[in-house]
Amino acid sequence: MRNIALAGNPNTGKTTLFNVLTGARAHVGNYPGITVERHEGVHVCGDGQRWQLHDLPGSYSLSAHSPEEEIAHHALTGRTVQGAMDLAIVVLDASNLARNLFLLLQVAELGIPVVGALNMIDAAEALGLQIDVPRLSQAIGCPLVPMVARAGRGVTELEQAVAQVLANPGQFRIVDTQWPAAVRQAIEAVKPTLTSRLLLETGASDGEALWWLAANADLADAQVPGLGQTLQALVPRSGDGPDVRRQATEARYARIDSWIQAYYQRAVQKNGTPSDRIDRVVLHPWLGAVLFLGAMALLFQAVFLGAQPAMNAVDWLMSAVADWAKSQLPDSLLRQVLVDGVLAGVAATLVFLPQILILFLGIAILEDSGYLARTAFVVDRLMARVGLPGKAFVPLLSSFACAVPGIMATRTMTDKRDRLLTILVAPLMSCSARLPVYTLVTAAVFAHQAPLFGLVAPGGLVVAGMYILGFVVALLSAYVLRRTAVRGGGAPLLLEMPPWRWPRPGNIVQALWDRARVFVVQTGSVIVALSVVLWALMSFPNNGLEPIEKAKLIQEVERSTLADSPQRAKGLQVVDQRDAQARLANSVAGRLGKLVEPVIAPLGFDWRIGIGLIGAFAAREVLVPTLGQVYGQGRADVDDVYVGRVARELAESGGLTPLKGLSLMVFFAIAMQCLSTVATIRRETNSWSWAIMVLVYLNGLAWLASLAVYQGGRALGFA
Amino acid sequence: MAHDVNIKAIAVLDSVLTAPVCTSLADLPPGRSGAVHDVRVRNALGDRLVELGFTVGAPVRMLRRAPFGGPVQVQIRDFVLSLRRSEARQIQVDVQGEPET
Repeated sequence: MRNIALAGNPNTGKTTLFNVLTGARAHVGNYPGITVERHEGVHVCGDGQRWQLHDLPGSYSLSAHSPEEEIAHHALTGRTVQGAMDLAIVVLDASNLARNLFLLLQVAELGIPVVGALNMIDAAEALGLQIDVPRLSQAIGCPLVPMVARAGRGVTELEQAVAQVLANPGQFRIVDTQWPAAVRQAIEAVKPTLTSRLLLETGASDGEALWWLAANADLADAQVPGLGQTLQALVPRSGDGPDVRRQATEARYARIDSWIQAYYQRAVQKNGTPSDRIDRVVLHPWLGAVLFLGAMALLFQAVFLGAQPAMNAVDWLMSAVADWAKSQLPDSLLRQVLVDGVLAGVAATLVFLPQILILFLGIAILEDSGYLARTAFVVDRLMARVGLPGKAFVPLLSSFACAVPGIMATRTMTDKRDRLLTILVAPLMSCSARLPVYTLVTAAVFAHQAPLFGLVAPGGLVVAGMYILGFVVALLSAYVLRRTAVRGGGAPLLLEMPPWRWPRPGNIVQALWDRARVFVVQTGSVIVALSVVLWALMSFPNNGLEPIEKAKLIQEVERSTLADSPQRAKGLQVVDQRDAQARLANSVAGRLGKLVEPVIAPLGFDWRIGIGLIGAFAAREVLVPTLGQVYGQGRADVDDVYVGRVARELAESGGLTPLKGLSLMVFFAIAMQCLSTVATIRRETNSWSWAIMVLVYLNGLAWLASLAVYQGGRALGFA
Repeated sequence: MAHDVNIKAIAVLDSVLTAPVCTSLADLPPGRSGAVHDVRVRNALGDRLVELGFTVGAPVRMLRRAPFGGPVQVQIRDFVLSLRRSEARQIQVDVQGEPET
């Protein structure tokens, strides 16, 4: 099988082409930096030939030694894959050829046969760009295939071009650039060392020599002994000496500019491009800020109001299933495990699916249209002020879904301190696991407040406030960390603004499906497992009221009420409830709750919420089924819908007042309660101390913030 | 003699007035275009900027600046890039054309 690399600038549709060719479903977006790792897949051609395709991370160049460029370089030269690539398909954005051809030249310099995929040719034509493809292709010396990857247009032609080059690689060699004398000299000076040290059979290519010439001398010496000295003599990094890397870049662009001038015609855009006309409004100094806040507010209102009918339906369904299970099974331990453990966990997962889907529908539309990348323009000032690097933007954005992929996305950051700082604040972005908690608390204490101005739900506002709180605390933490634990760093923001596009339904459905699957399967199984464990902790040891005491209470009820009267039934029910509460208090979970109560009492939480907090330390969403069990003990009525029931029990038992609810939400917005995130931090920083540091500082901060809210609120006269 | 000096002075003045004004990209007013004169920093950032297309003579246009000293949005060659002002200050630009009215 032939090894074929798929290289290209970020956001050129490289991953889309990879998915089209392999039938895979890697995540595609409209902002640069989606692919951090290398994906592999097999493409079967029309004639039955099979290619092993390697999707490389998008990069603008091959000489900067950032992680994604190193992955791309190593894969192309065969240092990570068995044998070098037989061919590279370089995906080119047809509307932005010059910068894209720069990468194509660099790949060709490595001595690898190249085919250019002129992608998004339809968008280029819509902009009025005219490309003389046959003559441009002849001038460069490699086939260029116009295509529209997302519509599958041009795939057959690409296959043919690749087959042609594979059959006759010698015929399609891109002539090396005419390097300026200083560059040529430097290349020839390092080649012998490289050829002998790297054991290259055919001799080092110009590209390989230039890669090392751009490298840090210490790094080079570590990988190729003796190279560092040669490099230091050749590449003065300061002063006015010949700068090899800069000169090589200028030489490549001079060549590209001559092609562009001859075979590429831009139409005169009298009033700017269509994208720019949209930007004029959307990124307007103050209108832009208004639109940004408006878009966020709309999103959260949609999450809260739009999801309600679907949540009620899921709720009703789950309650019906629970009732049915109760009617079918005899009252036994098994029934309790199934209904209070498993079914409660399943309900707590499924009931939040509509909200998660609406949230991600909104994010997917914003992302695919190109708006999300532009929010960098709106918020970067804030980030720069506190010392967050420009490159932190995409990882922080991903952390709103989940901190784990967000932290993994920091791999694109070259500066270690920048990366560490971003990892330390990423868990503060309100992830989707916090949404169920916010929803439950809002339903318990803010649901009955009248809508503001008749249409804005206060719950939606409070939740939007929690998202903002997380972001603000992240900024403050970054500010402090930059001046204490993580000094230095500060990599630049260089973010390409993608063109505005209509969101593509296929992409959005794909994104939603991925999200839904992850939530139901992965998150769901954790929730169900934990809710069974918590059920067990709450049910054993099974010690209710002392039998003598219980008998006394029953006697008293029987003495003071008439037989068969409603009062007697009610009285007996109260006894049952007290029995159940005693059982909970005596259980393992109850004792644990009592153990932590002194710590959390100043925040307004009693030992029962303490049980919920303990459960939430494994996974935040578990709070919902846990509180459902805590407050549902001894109550037989399952007539209400699930979240509504838990919320009502919370409110009626006096466990949660609006002030306590706010305190609880603030705690969840800040606290580090996710074991997978801690594990990811430990893996990515390769240190337990940073992982523990995050646990300590975030939970400490959460405790203090919660304390401030509760005690401050009490001082102001709230309960 | 005095006549000669005057002619020389006029020639010097003339070249100053018609020569493109050189400024940093951060100071290029929105809507104005220019050609890259030089990327001043000789480090990884400078190399990166040149590789993105800020080569000598490349056309560049200031699209807009974010308020409160936020990033700037520029068109370089055929694409739009957001960068912080501190980075934009490292790029020298020869201003071209008349200010837009």
